[in-house]
Amino acid sequence: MAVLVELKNTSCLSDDGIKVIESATSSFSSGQRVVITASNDTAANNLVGLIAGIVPPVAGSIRLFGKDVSTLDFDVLAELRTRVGFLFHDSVLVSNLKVIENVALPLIYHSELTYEKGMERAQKLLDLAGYRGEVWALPGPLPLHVRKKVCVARALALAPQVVVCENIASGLAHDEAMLLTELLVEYQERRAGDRLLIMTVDNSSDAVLVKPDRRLRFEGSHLVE
Amino acid sequence: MDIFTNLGSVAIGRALSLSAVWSTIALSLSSLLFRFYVGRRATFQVLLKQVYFTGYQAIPIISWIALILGIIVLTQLLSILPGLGGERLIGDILVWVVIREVGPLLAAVVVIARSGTAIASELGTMRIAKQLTALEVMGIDPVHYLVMPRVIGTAISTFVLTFYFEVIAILGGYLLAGFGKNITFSIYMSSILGSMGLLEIVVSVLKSILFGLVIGAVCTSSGLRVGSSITEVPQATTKAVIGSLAAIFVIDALITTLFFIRLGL
Repeated sequence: MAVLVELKNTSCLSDDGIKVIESATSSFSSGQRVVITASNDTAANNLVGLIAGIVPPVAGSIRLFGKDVSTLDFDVLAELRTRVGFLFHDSVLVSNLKVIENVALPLIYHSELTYEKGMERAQKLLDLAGYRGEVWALPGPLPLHVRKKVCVARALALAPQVVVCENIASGLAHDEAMLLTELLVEYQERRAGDRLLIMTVDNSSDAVLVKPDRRLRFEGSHLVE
Repeated sequence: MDIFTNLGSVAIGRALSLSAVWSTIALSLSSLLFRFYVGRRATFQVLLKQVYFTGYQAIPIISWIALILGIIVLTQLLSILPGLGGERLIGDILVWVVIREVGPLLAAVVVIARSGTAIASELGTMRIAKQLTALEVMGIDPVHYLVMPRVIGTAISTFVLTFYFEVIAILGGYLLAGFGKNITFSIYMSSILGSMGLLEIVVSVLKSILFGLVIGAVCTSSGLRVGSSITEVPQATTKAVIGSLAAIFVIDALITTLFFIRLGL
């Protein structure tokens, strides 16, 4: 099993300068399903941000596919990011693109797919994520649980090897949370030896849905197995 | 001492804004030339939308302004010049006013009012909503995907609108103000074509492209400088309009001075 994500004595600060992650050391390999319980939303958000390379570590390093993300230039980091599906809690969609265009965007930008083929693939992904609304609507007025479905479809668009997900269940009804969690677990199980799923949850009851191989938790700012 | 400190900080602020504008233009051009194939289908869609919004949708308002300008200038010329025996100057004056100066300037002002404001407020709102970060984590460069198509799209649109403005002002002005007067269409057109040299065309093209690039760069960089508060969006939009207007008038003066005073033309 190859190590895909590795934290070595990683520390980072929140926007207001408080140390939210302190000397975190852990590695996550292909084939694993990992749940990290973080009652503190900021720690979970910063952990996903560290892996994505948008939160710079103040100490230590974070390696993605063996490369230190804080030292990479944009193009190399961008290439690595196409192999990871990120799902942030706030589920941000591009406001001037229609729902289906949001899902098709990574496909059309990073692959040689035509616009029409990208739309076809995006429609299938939206169906898979349980999106039942108007695909040509702008995403602005969509409620959080619907935006999360669109974000799940978008995160899986490039068939990433790693999926990093922040509190998918937060703000959702139990049924909705179960549907999306099952979808992500199924996605990981489809190529179980190859794909890594890292999910943060804000309480351990949400972790049951994931049936994880490994459980970690934040105790204050420390990440413990 | 305070006066010097204030002057210094104002000068530094202006210099930083100016360098942000030029670096935005440089980044957009290098992105277009050297990263053309990166996400080309997606960026081309953004470019097309920008040209549609800035260029195509501005045609009705540009047509009205051009027609009214053509009528005003031609009415004034036809009321003054025949009395002075200077009918042959009609072509010269129309070329000086419409092609060299007012055409590029008014087309740019319409682009600022319609699209510059939209670009600055849209990018400011996207930045506050963390949509730029969302693009980054998908491996999409916001400069290549958002900034470059807007800057290049604005430049293309301003160039086309300027050409369209000049044609409508000259032809429409004659049809509405000159038709039936003591000047035939063939004399009118030969007077204009006789007054228009390569230099007039080069200057008009140069101005329109530069105006478009600068408007796109000022407005995108104003939008991207928004911090985290929604109240910064209208401030950024105002700065974008004022900055773009100031820039196009300064560039217009520089080009006119360079081509028509220094060369003595």
